[in-house]
Amino acid sequence: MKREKQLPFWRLRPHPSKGECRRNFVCLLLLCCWLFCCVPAAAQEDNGLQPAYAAQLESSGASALPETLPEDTKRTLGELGVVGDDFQAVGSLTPQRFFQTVFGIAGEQGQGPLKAAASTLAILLLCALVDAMKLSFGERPLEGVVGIVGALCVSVVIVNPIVEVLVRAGSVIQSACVFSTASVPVMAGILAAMGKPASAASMQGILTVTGDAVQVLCAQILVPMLQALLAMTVVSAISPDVNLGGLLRFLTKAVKWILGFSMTFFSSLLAMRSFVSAGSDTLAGRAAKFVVSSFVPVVGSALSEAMRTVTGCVELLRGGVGAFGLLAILILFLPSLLSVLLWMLALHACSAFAQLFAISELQSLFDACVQVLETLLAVLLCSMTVLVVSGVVLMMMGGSSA
Amino acid sequence: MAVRLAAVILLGLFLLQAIQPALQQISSLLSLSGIEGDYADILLRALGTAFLTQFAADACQDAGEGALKNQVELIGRVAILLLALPLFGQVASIAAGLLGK
Repeated sequence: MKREKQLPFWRLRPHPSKGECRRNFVCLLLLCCWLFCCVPAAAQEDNGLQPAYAAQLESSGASALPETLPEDTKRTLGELGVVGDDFQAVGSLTPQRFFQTVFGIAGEQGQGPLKAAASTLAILLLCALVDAMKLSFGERPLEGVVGIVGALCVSVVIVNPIVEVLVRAGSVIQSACVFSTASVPVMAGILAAMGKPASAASMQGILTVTGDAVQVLCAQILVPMLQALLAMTVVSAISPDVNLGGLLRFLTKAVKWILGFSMTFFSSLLAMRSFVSAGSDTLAGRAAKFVVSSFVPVVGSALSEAMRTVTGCVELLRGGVGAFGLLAILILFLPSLLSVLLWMLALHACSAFAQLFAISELQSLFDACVQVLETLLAVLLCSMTVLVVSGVVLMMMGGSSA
Repeated sequence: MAVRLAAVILLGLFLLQAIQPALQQISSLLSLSGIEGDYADILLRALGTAFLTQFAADACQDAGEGALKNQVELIGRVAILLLALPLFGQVASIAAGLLGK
Protein backbone atom coordinates (compact mmCIF):
# COMPACT_ATOMS: atom_id res chain seq x y z
CA MET A 1 0.00 0.00 0.00
CA LYS A 2 1.31 3.34 -0.94
CA ARG A 3 1.93 5.66 1.98
CA GLU A 4 0.46 9.15 1.58
CA LYS A 5 3.08 11.96 1.52
CA GLN A 6 2.74 14.37 4.48
CA LEU A 7 1.88 17.89 3.27
CA PRO A 8 3.32 21.03 5.09
CA PHE A 9 0.89 22.73 7.41
CA TRP A 10 0.29 25.74 5.16
CA ARG A 11 -0.98 23.41 2.48
CA LEU A 12 -3.25 21.56 4.86
CA ARG A 13 -5.72 24.34 4.93
CA PRO A 14 -8.16 24.42 2.09
CA HIS A 15 -7.74 27.14 -0.49
CA PRO A 16 -9.14 30.54 0.88
CA SER A 17 -12.28 31.94 -0.58
CA LYS A 18 -12.62 35.31 -2.37
CA GLY A 19 -14.10 37.03 0.73
CA GLU A 20 -11.27 35.88 2.89
CA CYS A 21 -8.75 37.14 0.40
CA ARG A 22 -10.45 40.51 0.24
CA ARG A 23 -10.49 40.79 4.04
CA ASN A 24 -6.81 39.90 4.29
CA PHE A 25 -5.93 42.45 1.64
CA VAL A 26 -7.78 45.27 3.54
CA CYS A 27 -6.01 44.41 6.78
CA LEU A 28 -2.66 44.47 5.05
CA LEU A 29 -3.49 47.83 3.46
CA LEU A 30 -4.50 49.33 6.80
CA LEU A 31 -1.32 48.05 8.41
CA CYS A 32 0.78 49.66 5.68
CA CYS A 33 -1.09 52.97 6.09
CA TRP A 34 -0.54 52.93 9.83
CA LEU A 35 3.17 52.22 9.50
CA PHE A 36 3.96 54.74 6.78
CA CYS A 37 1.53 57.58 7.53
CA CYS A 38 2.36 58.20 11.23
CA VAL A 39 4.44 61.31 11.91
CA PRO A 40 6.51 62.07 15.02
CA ALA A 41 4.72 64.35 17.45
CA ALA A 42 5.50 65.82 20.87
CA ALA A 43 3.19 67.20 23.55
CA GLN A 44 3.37 70.93 24.35
CA GLU A 45 5.70 71.69 27.31
CA ASP A 46 3.76 72.21 30.52
CA ASN A 47 4.81 75.44 32.35
CA GLY A 48 3.01 74.36 35.44
CA LEU A 49 1.23 77.04 37.45
CA GLN A 50 3.35 79.98 36.20
CA PRO A 51 0.89 81.64 33.79
CA ALA A 52 -2.01 81.16 36.19
CA TYR A 53 0.13 82.50 39.05
CA ALA A 54 1.09 85.60 37.06
CA ALA A 55 -2.54 86.28 36.13
CA GLN A 56 -3.70 85.89 39.74
CA LEU A 57 -0.82 88.09 40.95
CA GLU A 58 -1.95 90.85 38.63
CA SER A 59 -5.67 90.55 39.32
CA SER A 60 -5.27 90.39 43.12
CA GLY A 61 -3.41 93.72 43.18
CA ALA A 62 -0.41 92.19 44.95
CA SER A 63 1.96 93.41 42.22
CA ALA A 64 1.38 97.01 43.34
CA LEU A 65 2.28 96.31 47.00
CA PRO A 66 6.03 97.05 46.70
CA GLU A 67 5.23 100.59 45.50
CA THR A 68 3.71 101.44 48.89
CA LEU A 69 7.07 100.91 50.63
CA PRO A 70 9.64 103.69 51.20
CA GLU A 71 12.70 103.81 48.91
CA ASP A 72 15.11 102.71 51.66
CA THR A 73 13.09 99.59 52.33
CA LYS A 74 12.83 98.75 48.61
CA ARG A 75 16.60 99.13 48.29
CA THR A 76 17.24 96.83 51.26
CA LEU A 77 14.80 94.26 49.89
CA GLY A 78 16.63 94.48 46.57
CA GLU A 79 19.91 93.70 48.35
CA LEU A 80 18.21 90.62 49.80
CA GLY A 81 17.20 89.53 46.32
CA VAL A 82 13.51 90.48 46.50
CA VAL A 83 13.03 92.89 43.62
CA GLY A 84 9.66 94.35 42.69
CA ASP A 85 6.80 91.83 42.83
CA ASP A 86 9.03 88.73 42.76
CA PHE A 87 7.47 87.34 45.95
CA GLN A 88 8.74 83.81 45.38
CA ALA A 89 12.32 85.08 45.85
CA VAL A 90 11.61 85.33 49.59
CA GLY A 91 11.87 81.56 49.74
CA SER A 92 15.44 81.65 48.45
CA LEU A 93 16.62 84.07 51.14
CA THR A 94 19.56 82.65 53.12
CA PRO A 95 20.37 83.47 56.78
CA GLN A 96 23.88 84.51 55.74
CA ARG A 97 22.58 87.14 53.33
CA PHE A 98 20.02 88.35 55.85
CA PHE A 99 22.52 88.80 58.67
CA GLN A 100 24.96 90.46 56.30
CA THR A 101 22.32 93.06 55.53
CA VAL A 102 21.47 93.46 59.22
CA PHE A 103 25.11 94.08 60.12
CA GLY A 104 25.41 96.55 57.26
CA ILE A 105 22.42 98.54 58.58
CA ALA A 106 23.83 98.36 62.13
CA GLY A 107 27.13 99.75 60.86
CA GLU A 108 25.39 102.68 59.18
CA GLN A 109 23.22 103.45 62.21
CA GLY A 110 26.09 103.07 64.67
CA GLN A 111 28.11 106.01 63.41
CA GLY A 112 25.88 108.66 65.00
CA PRO A 113 25.84 107.16 68.52
CA LEU A 114 29.59 106.50 68.38
CA LYS A 115 30.39 110.11 67.49
CA ALA A 116 28.03 111.42 70.16
CA ALA A 117 29.55 109.09 72.75
CA ALA A 118 33.08 110.30 71.88
CA SER A 119 32.00 113.96 72.14
CA THR A 120 30.20 113.32 75.41
CA LEU A 121 33.24 111.54 76.83
CA ALA A 122 35.39 114.54 76.02
CA ILE A 123 32.92 116.88 77.74
CA LEU A 124 32.74 114.52 80.71
CA LEU A 125 36.53 114.61 81.03
CA LEU A 126 36.46 118.40 81.07
CA CYS A 127 33.69 118.42 83.65
CA ALA A 128 35.66 115.88 85.69
CA LEU A 129 38.61 118.23 85.50
CA VAL A 130 36.44 121.00 86.89
CA ASP A 131 35.08 118.69 89.53
CA ALA A 132 38.59 117.69 90.53
CA MET A 133 39.33 121.35 91.14
CA LYS A 134 36.21 121.94 93.22
CA LEU A 135 38.35 122.30 96.31
CA SER A 136 39.84 125.29 94.62
CA PHE A 137 36.49 126.59 93.44
CA GLY A 138 35.12 126.04 96.90
CA GLU A 139 31.87 127.96 96.67
CA ARG A 140 29.02 126.22 94.93
CA PRO A 141 28.03 129.01 92.47
CA LEU A 142 31.08 128.79 90.19
CA GLU A 143 31.14 125.03 90.19
CA GLY A 144 27.39 125.01 89.52
CA VAL A 145 27.73 127.44 86.60
CA VAL A 146 30.48 125.41 84.94
CA GLY A 147 28.37 122.30 85.50
CA ILE A 148 25.44 123.98 83.73
CA VAL A 149 27.66 124.86 80.77
CA GLY A 150 28.77 121.22 80.63
CA ALA A 151 25.16 120.05 80.72
CA LEU A 152 24.28 122.49 77.94
CA CYS A 153 27.12 121.16 75.74
CA VAL A 154 26.08 117.57 76.35
CA SER A 155 22.41 118.40 75.68
CA VAL A 156 23.23 120.00 72.34
CA VAL A 157 25.46 117.06 71.37
CA ILE A 158 23.01 114.24 72.17
CA VAL A 159 19.53 115.72 72.03
CA ASN A 160 19.60 116.75 68.36
CA PRO A 161 20.38 113.22 67.11
CA ILE A 162 17.86 111.70 69.53
CA VAL A 163 15.18 114.05 68.18
CA GLU A 164 16.00 112.76 64.68
CA VAL A 165 15.63 109.19 65.94
CA LEU A 166 12.20 110.06 67.40
CA VAL A 167 11.01 111.77 64.23
CA ARG A 168 12.22 108.89 62.06
CA ALA A 169 10.48 106.36 64.33
CA GLY A 170 7.20 108.21 63.85
CA SER A 171 7.57 108.21 60.07
CA VAL A 172 8.51 104.48 60.08
CA ILE A 173 5.34 103.62 62.01
CA GLN A 174 3.26 105.69 59.57
CA SER A 175 4.87 104.03 56.53
CA ALA A 176 4.34 100.57 58.03
CA CYS A 177 0.66 101.34 58.65
CA VAL A 178 0.24 102.55 55.06
CA PHE A 179 1.78 99.31 53.77
CA SER A 180 -0.35 97.21 56.10
CA THR A 181 -3.52 99.05 55.07
CA ALA A 182 -2.64 98.38 51.40
CA SER A 183 -1.80 94.70 51.91
CA VAL A 184 -4.85 93.73 54.02
CA PRO A 185 -7.39 94.02 51.14
CA VAL A 186 -5.00 92.06 48.86
CA MET A 187 -4.70 89.20 51.38
CA ALA A 188 -8.45 89.30 52.05
CA GLY A 189 -9.13 88.95 48.32
CA ILE A 190 -6.76 85.99 48.14
CA LEU A 191 -8.48 84.40 51.15
CA ALA A 192 -11.88 84.87 49.52
CA ALA A 193 -10.54 83.26 46.30
CA MET A 194 -9.39 80.29 48.40
CA GLY A 195 -12.96 79.74 49.54
CA LYS A 196 -12.81 81.56 52.89
CA PRO A 197 -15.10 84.55 52.36
CA ALA A 198 -16.27 84.79 55.97
CA SER A 199 -12.70 85.00 57.27
CA ALA A 200 -11.77 87.49 54.59
CA ALA A 201 -14.69 89.80 55.29
CA SER A 202 -14.28 89.55 59.04
CA MET A 203 -10.54 90.08 59.15
CA GLN A 204 -10.39 92.83 56.55
CA GLY A 205 -12.52 95.11 58.70
CA ILE A 206 -10.70 94.53 61.96
CA LEU A 207 -7.20 94.68 60.48
CA THR A 208 -7.87 97.89 58.56
CA VAL A 209 -9.08 99.48 61.78
CA THR A 210 -5.98 98.08 63.54
CA GLY A 211 -3.66 99.72 61.02
CA ASP A 212 -5.37 103.08 61.52
CA ALA A 213 -5.37 102.67 65.31
CA VAL A 214 -1.64 101.90 65.41
CA GLN A 215 -0.93 104.95 63.28
CA VAL A 216 -3.04 107.28 65.40
CA LEU A 217 -1.97 105.88 68.78
CA CYS A 218 1.74 105.35 68.17
CA ALA A 219 2.77 107.81 65.48
CA GLN A 220 0.48 110.72 66.38
CA ILE A 221 0.08 110.42 70.17
CA LEU A 222 2.83 108.38 71.81
CA VAL A 223 5.83 109.53 69.76
CA PRO A 224 4.97 113.26 70.18
CA MET A 225 4.49 112.55 73.89
CA LEU A 226 8.00 111.13 73.97
CA GLN A 227 9.30 114.26 72.25
CA ALA A 228 7.73 116.36 75.01
CA LEU A 229 9.34 114.03 77.57
CA LEU A 230 12.73 114.62 75.99
CA ALA A 231 12.23 118.39 76.14
CA MET A 232 11.42 118.12 79.85
CA THR A 233 14.51 115.94 80.33
CA VAL A 234 16.72 118.64 78.84
CA VAL A 235 15.15 121.40 80.94
CA SER A 236 15.48 119.30 84.07
CA ALA A 237 19.18 118.69 83.38
CA ILE A 238 19.96 122.38 82.86
CA SER A 239 17.95 123.61 85.85
CA PRO A 240 18.66 121.26 88.76
CA ASP A 241 16.15 123.16 90.91
CA VAL A 242 13.39 122.28 88.44
CA ASN A 243 12.87 118.63 89.34
CA LEU A 244 10.75 116.94 86.68
CA GLY A 245 11.92 113.41 87.50
CA GLY A 246 8.61 112.40 89.05
CA LEU A 247 6.63 113.69 86.07
CA LEU A 248 8.93 111.86 83.66
CA ARG A 249 8.47 108.58 85.52
CA PHE A 250 4.69 109.03 85.54
CA LEU A 251 4.50 109.75 81.81
CA THR A 252 6.74 106.81 80.80
CA LYS A 253 4.65 104.48 82.97
CA ALA A 254 1.47 105.87 81.39
CA VAL A 255 2.83 105.17 77.88
CA LYS A 256 3.75 101.60 78.84
CA TRP A 257 0.33 100.97 80.39
CA ILE A 258 -1.42 102.27 77.24
CA LEU A 259 0.72 99.97 75.08
CA GLY A 260 0.12 96.94 77.27
CA PHE A 261 -3.64 97.46 77.36
CA SER A 262 -3.86 98.02 73.59
CA MET A 263 -1.86 94.87 72.84
CA THR A 264 -4.01 92.74 75.15
CA PHE A 265 -7.24 94.10 73.69
CA PHE A 266 -6.06 93.58 70.10
CA SER A 267 -4.85 90.00 70.71
CA SER A 268 -8.10 88.96 72.39
CA LEU A 269 -10.27 90.47 69.66
CA LEU A 270 -8.22 88.88 66.90
CA ALA A 271 -8.27 85.43 68.50
CA MET A 272 -12.06 85.51 69.02
CA ARG A 273 -12.72 86.67 65.45
CA SER A 274 -10.41 84.07 63.89
CA PHE A 275 -12.00 81.15 65.78
CA VAL A 276 -15.55 82.09 64.75
CA SER A 277 -14.88 82.91 61.10
CA ALA A 278 -12.60 79.89 60.50
CA GLY A 279 -15.36 77.58 61.72
CA SER A 280 -17.98 79.08 59.39
CA ASP A 281 -15.59 78.91 56.40
CA THR A 282 -14.79 75.24 57.09
CA LEU A 283 -18.50 74.42 57.29
CA ALA A 284 -19.27 76.35 54.10
CA GLY A 285 -16.42 74.72 52.19
CA ARG A 286 -17.40 71.19 53.18
CA ALA A 287 -21.05 71.86 52.40
CA ALA A 288 -20.13 73.09 48.92
CA LYS A 289 -18.04 69.98 48.22
CA PHE A 290 -20.83 67.70 49.44
CA VAL A 291 -23.37 69.41 47.17
CA VAL A 292 -21.08 69.22 44.13
CA SER A 293 -20.16 65.58 44.63
CA SER A 294 -23.74 64.50 45.39
CA PHE A 295 -25.81 66.40 42.87
CA VAL A 296 -23.56 66.76 39.83
CA PRO A 297 -23.98 63.54 37.85
CA VAL A 298 -21.09 61.44 36.58
CA VAL A 299 -18.27 63.90 37.27
CA GLY A 300 -19.42 65.16 40.67
CA SER A 301 -16.62 63.63 42.73
CA ALA A 302 -14.01 64.70 40.19
CA LEU A 303 -15.32 68.26 40.27
CA SER A 304 -15.28 68.20 44.04
CA GLU A 305 -11.59 67.27 44.01
CA ALA A 306 -10.92 69.84 41.30
CA MET A 307 -12.01 72.60 43.71
CA ARG A 308 -9.00 71.74 45.85
CA THR A 309 -6.72 71.83 42.83
CA VAL A 310 -7.90 75.29 41.83
CA THR A 311 -7.06 76.67 45.27
CA GLY A 312 -3.53 75.29 44.98
CA CYS A 313 -2.40 78.12 42.73
CA VAL A 314 -4.04 80.68 44.98
CA GLU A 315 -2.27 79.15 47.99
CA LEU A 316 1.04 79.71 46.22
CA LEU A 317 0.12 83.36 45.83
CA ARG A 318 -1.01 83.60 49.45
CA GLY A 319 2.28 82.19 50.72
CA GLY A 320 4.36 84.50 48.53
CA VAL A 321 2.43 87.67 49.35
CA GLY A 322 2.26 86.82 53.06
CA ALA A 323 5.99 86.12 53.32
CA PHE A 324 6.80 89.31 51.39
CA GLY A 325 4.56 91.32 53.72
CA LEU A 326 6.25 89.97 56.85
CA LEU A 327 9.73 90.54 55.44
CA ALA A 328 8.85 94.07 54.31
CA ILE A 329 7.56 95.04 57.77
CA LEU A 330 10.67 93.60 59.41
CA ILE A 331 13.01 95.47 57.05
CA LEU A 332 10.95 98.66 57.49
CA PHE A 333 11.36 98.65 61.28
CA LEU A 334 14.90 97.28 61.41
CA PRO A 335 16.95 100.49 60.90
CA SER A 336 14.90 102.40 63.48
CA LEU A 337 15.12 99.56 66.02
CA LEU A 338 18.87 99.20 65.57
CA SER A 339 19.33 102.96 65.86
CA VAL A 340 17.41 103.09 69.14
CA LEU A 341 19.32 100.10 70.54
CA LEU A 342 22.70 101.58 69.61
CA TRP A 343 21.78 104.94 71.12
CA MET A 344 20.70 103.24 74.32
CA LEU A 345 24.03 101.42 74.44
CA ALA A 346 25.99 104.64 73.90
CA LEU A 347 23.99 106.54 76.55
CA HIS A 348 24.40 103.71 79.06
CA ALA A 349 28.16 103.92 78.51
CA CYS A 350 28.08 107.71 78.97
CA SER A 351 26.02 107.31 82.16
CA ALA A 352 28.57 104.81 83.46
CA PHE A 353 31.40 107.28 82.77
CA ALA A 354 29.45 110.11 84.42
CA GLN A 355 28.97 107.91 87.48
CA LEU A 356 32.69 107.10 87.42
CA PHE A 357 33.57 110.80 87.52
CA ALA A 358 30.76 111.52 90.03
CA ILE A 359 29.02 114.05 87.76
CA SER A 360 25.47 113.46 88.96
CA GLU A 361 23.74 116.13 86.82
CA LEU A 362 24.96 114.62 83.58
CA GLN A 363 24.33 111.10 84.85
CA SER A 364 20.66 111.95 85.48
CA LEU A 365 20.44 113.51 81.98
CA PHE A 366 21.79 110.33 80.38
CA ASP A 367 19.50 108.11 82.47
CA ALA A 368 16.45 110.17 81.53
CA CYS A 369 17.36 110.00 77.81
CA VAL A 370 17.77 106.21 78.14
CA GLN A 371 14.30 106.05 79.70
CA VAL A 372 12.80 107.97 76.77
CA LEU A 373 14.54 105.66 74.27
CA GLU A 374 13.39 102.55 76.17
CA THR A 375 9.81 103.76 75.87
CA LEU A 376 10.33 104.50 72.17
CA LEU A 377 11.69 100.97 71.71
CA ALA A 378 8.56 99.57 73.37
CA VAL A 379 6.35 101.65 71.05
CA LEU A 380 8.25 100.46 67.95
CA LEU A 381 8.19 96.79 69.02
CA CYS A 382 4.48 96.90 69.85
CA SER A 383 3.64 98.52 66.49
CA MET A 384 5.74 95.96 64.65
CA THR A 385 4.22 93.07 66.61
CA VAL A 386 0.66 94.18 65.90
CA LEU A 387 1.32 94.47 62.16
CA VAL A 388 3.25 91.17 62.00
CA VAL A 389 0.56 89.32 63.96
CA SER A 390 -2.08 90.73 61.58
CA GLY A 391 -0.17 89.36 58.61
CA VAL A 392 0.45 85.98 60.26
CA VAL A 393 -3.21 85.60 61.21
CA LEU A 394 -4.26 86.24 57.60
CA MET A 395 -1.71 83.72 56.36
CA MET A 396 -2.68 81.08 58.91
CA MET A 397 -6.35 81.45 58.13
CA GLY A 398 -5.72 80.31 54.57
CA GLY A 399 -3.53 77.44 55.76
CA SER A 400 -5.86 74.44 56.01
CA SER A 401 -8.20 73.83 53.12
CA ALA A 402 -11.54 72.32 54.04
CA MET B 1 50.61 139.79 100.67
CA ALA B 2 52.71 140.28 97.50
CA VAL B 3 54.64 137.09 98.26
CA ARG B 4 51.37 135.16 98.68
CA LEU B 5 50.10 136.57 95.39
CA ALA B 6 53.31 135.68 93.57
CA ALA B 7 53.22 132.15 95.01
CA VAL B 8 49.62 131.65 93.88
CA ILE B 9 50.46 132.92 90.38
CA LEU B 10 53.47 130.62 90.09
CA LEU B 11 51.49 127.61 91.30
CA GLY B 12 48.70 128.47 88.89
CA LEU B 13 51.11 128.62 85.95
CA PHE B 14 52.63 125.31 87.03
CA LEU B 15 49.13 123.78 87.16
CA LEU B 16 48.31 125.09 83.68
CA GLN B 17 51.50 123.58 82.33
CA ALA B 18 50.69 120.25 84.01
CA ILE B 19 47.18 119.97 82.60
CA GLN B 20 48.17 121.16 79.10
CA PRO B 21 48.65 117.58 77.72
CA ALA B 22 45.28 116.56 79.17
CA LEU B 23 43.59 119.55 77.53
CA GLN B 24 45.25 118.72 74.21
CA GLN B 25 44.03 115.13 74.41
CA ILE B 26 40.51 116.32 75.15
CA SER B 27 40.65 118.79 72.22
CA SER B 28 41.79 116.07 69.83
CA LEU B 29 39.02 113.79 71.12
CA LEU B 30 36.48 116.55 70.54
CA SER B 31 37.75 117.19 67.01
CA LEU B 32 37.80 113.46 66.18
CA SER B 33 34.23 113.03 67.37
CA GLY B 34 33.06 115.71 64.96
CA ILE B 35 31.64 118.00 67.58
CA GLU B 36 31.38 121.58 66.41
CA GLY B 37 34.42 123.65 67.42
CA ASP B 38 32.24 126.34 69.00
CA TYR B 39 30.93 124.08 71.75
CA ALA B 40 34.37 122.89 72.81
CA ASP B 41 35.60 126.50 72.61
CA ILE B 42 32.78 127.70 74.86
CA LEU B 43 33.43 124.96 77.39
CA LEU B 44 37.17 125.59 77.58
CA ARG B 45 36.64 129.35 77.87
CA ALA B 46 34.11 128.78 80.64
CA LEU B 47 36.61 126.59 82.45
CA GLY B 48 39.36 129.20 82.09
CA THR B 49 37.04 132.02 83.18
CA ALA B 50 35.96 130.04 86.23
CA PHE B 51 39.56 129.35 87.19
CA LEU B 52 40.64 132.97 86.84
CA THR B 53 37.55 134.20 88.69
CA GLN B 54 38.24 131.86 91.57
CA PHE B 55 41.86 132.99 91.69
CA ALA B 56 40.85 136.64 91.80
CA ALA B 57 38.17 135.96 94.43
CA ASP B 58 40.62 134.13 96.65
CA ALA B 59 43.12 136.96 96.32
CA CYS B 60 40.42 139.42 97.39
CA GLN B 61 39.50 137.23 100.35
CA ASP B 62 43.13 137.01 101.46
CA ALA B 63 43.33 140.80 101.23
CA GLY B 64 40.31 141.03 103.52
CA GLU B 65 38.02 142.46 100.82
CA GLY B 66 34.93 140.33 101.27
CA ALA B 67 32.61 142.60 99.30
CA LEU B 68 35.07 142.77 96.40
CA LYS B 69 35.34 138.99 96.43
CA ASN B 70 31.57 138.63 96.06
CA GLN B 71 31.53 141.14 93.20
CA VAL B 72 34.35 139.31 91.41
CA GLU B 73 32.47 136.00 91.71
CA LEU B 74 29.29 137.63 90.42
CA ILE B 75 31.15 139.05 87.42
CA GLY B 76 32.70 135.65 86.76
CA ARG B 77 29.32 133.90 86.81
CA VAL B 78 27.80 136.49 84.49
CA ALA B 79 30.79 136.16 82.10
CA ILE B 80 30.40 132.39 81.98
CA LEU B 81 26.66 132.65 81.36
CA LEU B 82 27.25 135.19 78.57
CA LEU B 83 29.76 132.80 77.00
CA ALA B 84 27.17 130.01 77.17
CA LEU B 85 24.34 132.17 75.70
CA PRO B 86 24.50 130.52 72.24
CA LEU B 87 24.12 127.13 73.92
CA PHE B 88 21.09 128.33 75.88
CA GLY B 89 19.55 129.62 72.66
CA GLN B 90 20.14 126.33 70.86
CA VAL B 91 18.75 124.20 73.69
CA ALA B 92 15.73 126.47 74.01
CA SER B 93 14.99 126.17 70.29
CA ILE B 94 15.35 122.35 70.48
CA ALA B 95 12.96 122.18 73.44
CA ALA B 96 10.48 124.55 71.77
CA GLY B 97 10.64 122.50 68.58
CA LEU B 98 10.00 119.27 70.48
CA LEU B 99 7.04 120.73 72.33
CA GLY B 100 5.71 122.31 69.15
CA LYS B 101 5.79 118.95 67.30
